[in-house]
Amino acid sequence: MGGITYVYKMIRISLLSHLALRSSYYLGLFRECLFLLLSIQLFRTLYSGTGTVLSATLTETVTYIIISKFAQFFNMSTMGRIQSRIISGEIATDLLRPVEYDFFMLVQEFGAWIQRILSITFPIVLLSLLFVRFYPPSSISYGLCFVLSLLLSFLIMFFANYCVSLAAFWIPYLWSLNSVSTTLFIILSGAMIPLWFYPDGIRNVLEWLPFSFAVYMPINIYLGRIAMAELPILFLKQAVWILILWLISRFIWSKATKKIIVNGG
Amino acid sequence: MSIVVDHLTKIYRVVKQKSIFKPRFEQKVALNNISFQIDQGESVAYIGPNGSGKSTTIKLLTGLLTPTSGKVTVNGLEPYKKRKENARNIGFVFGQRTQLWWDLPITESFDLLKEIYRIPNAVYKRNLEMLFTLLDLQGFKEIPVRQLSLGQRMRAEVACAFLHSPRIVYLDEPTIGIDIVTKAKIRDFLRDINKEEKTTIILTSHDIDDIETVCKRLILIDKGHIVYDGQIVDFIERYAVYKKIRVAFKERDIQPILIPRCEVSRETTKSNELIIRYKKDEIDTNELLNILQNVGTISDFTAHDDNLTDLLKSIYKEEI
Repeated sequence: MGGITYVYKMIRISLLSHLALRSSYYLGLFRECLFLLLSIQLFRTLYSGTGTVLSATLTETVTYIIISKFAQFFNMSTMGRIQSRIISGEIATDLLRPVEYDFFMLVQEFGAWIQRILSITFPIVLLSLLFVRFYPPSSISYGLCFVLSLLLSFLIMFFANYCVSLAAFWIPYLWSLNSVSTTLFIILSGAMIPLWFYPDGIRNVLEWLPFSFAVYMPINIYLGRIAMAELPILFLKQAVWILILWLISRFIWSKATKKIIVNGG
Repeated sequence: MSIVVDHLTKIYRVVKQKSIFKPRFEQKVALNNISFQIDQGESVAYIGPNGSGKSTTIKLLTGLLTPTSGKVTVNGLEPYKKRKENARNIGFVFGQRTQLWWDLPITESFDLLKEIYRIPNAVYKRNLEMLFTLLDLQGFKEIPVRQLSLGQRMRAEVACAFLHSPRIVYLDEPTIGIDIVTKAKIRDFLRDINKEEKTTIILTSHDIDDIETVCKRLILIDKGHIVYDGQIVDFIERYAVYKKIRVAFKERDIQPILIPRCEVSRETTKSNELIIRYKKDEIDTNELLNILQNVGTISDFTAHDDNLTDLLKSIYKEEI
């Protein structure tokens, strides 16, 4: 299968089209740095003000915040793109390509993700190295497991987003749905605040949802907070979630295309 | 590879009355029992007024719609059942919808289509060379699409449709909003590639010159029925029963007069001219000129038979 060159070209296209918008890139990077700085400062204050022992050290938390920048898969462009194509009817031309639509979008989004890691995450991590103390991966094998787990996270978040975006086949104005779902994904996954700060009851529930597997779990692996022996189970859970979300998206998709193809949209 | 349309009917269900609980539906017949066959290498103009069922037909042929009854086969496949297999062999240009990556030069988009259609290297190289020459894309291949003129972009869009050597290409209004020179370039390209590569071309356009340059066959559809299906030349011969003469007078402010069985009109900008349209077999041109000499002194006079434009106009107005 020519999949590899296809993925490579998609990454290339994402990078190139991103570089075409240079000024918005610098603004975005600046914004990310600012947010990072603010949240680190927030946690510093929190830690200095509390006498109780928290479930993670300050450096662990700071590491979490920085490493979570690898999870650049919120605000996926897929969502907006699919929706605007559905609403404008351009989705029709996509249906006339000899490829599966979810694969087509997945590759595109993967390209965008890699592009964001290269152009946003790396500069941020490098900058942080100069100014902030944070941990490297707790061992090489944990580091590798982190990468694998992050790849699976990407798939989870892609299919979650994809399912939401297909709603455009039934609901014409999706802006509010998008912002609600994105915010929910961010909160539930622990992308903004590590789940270890959440109350136990809530955290226990969240740990079963797909979203915690998207950010919280991979970073816990990075930090070595999960025993090696438990990792296979964790990967399996991630894989199961991918499968479930993929099946749901396929189901919605077949309903949607049937709706277009039988009723003419 | 041929297209067979067999007693095809498409009925849409449209919402008549919106309601929170139970919307009421109404049936709208878009295509009513149409049949035709198109062989490999034909160039067909598929035309009709807005809302006649044109785009419904194209959607059925490409597999974007399922027929209510009847059947479509494209190279033995029913496209709505095997949409992706069918997609491999077709190309399309849909009016103002783009297949190009907005922020990038056209070559990047072509490169991606190569992967999507899994075009072998040799074929890709050959096609790219041919398309670059015929559509004259060389001059702007490095420029991002968003900075191209509409004419340049449309040429690139047309190239996209032919990149993977499709056997059938559907073009829906490919020259809309484009200047005459570019239009001519696209037309000539379509005519040539149809002749040389035997690519079946199915063109819907409101531009008569497009149709006359590119297509040999005409399928005319109106209100879901096929009104005419045959060669364009035969069509003109059969329906060009009207003649139109334009008479200029020495005097100004000629009032349109009433002549039996004639349609007399005057252009607002030319107050000394009358345009008279009549059926060739009903009125003798000489007789008509005699009548007109009573109106004023004739200074100039031209006559021609109805062309395709006039014919379509009169068909759309339900004269034939």
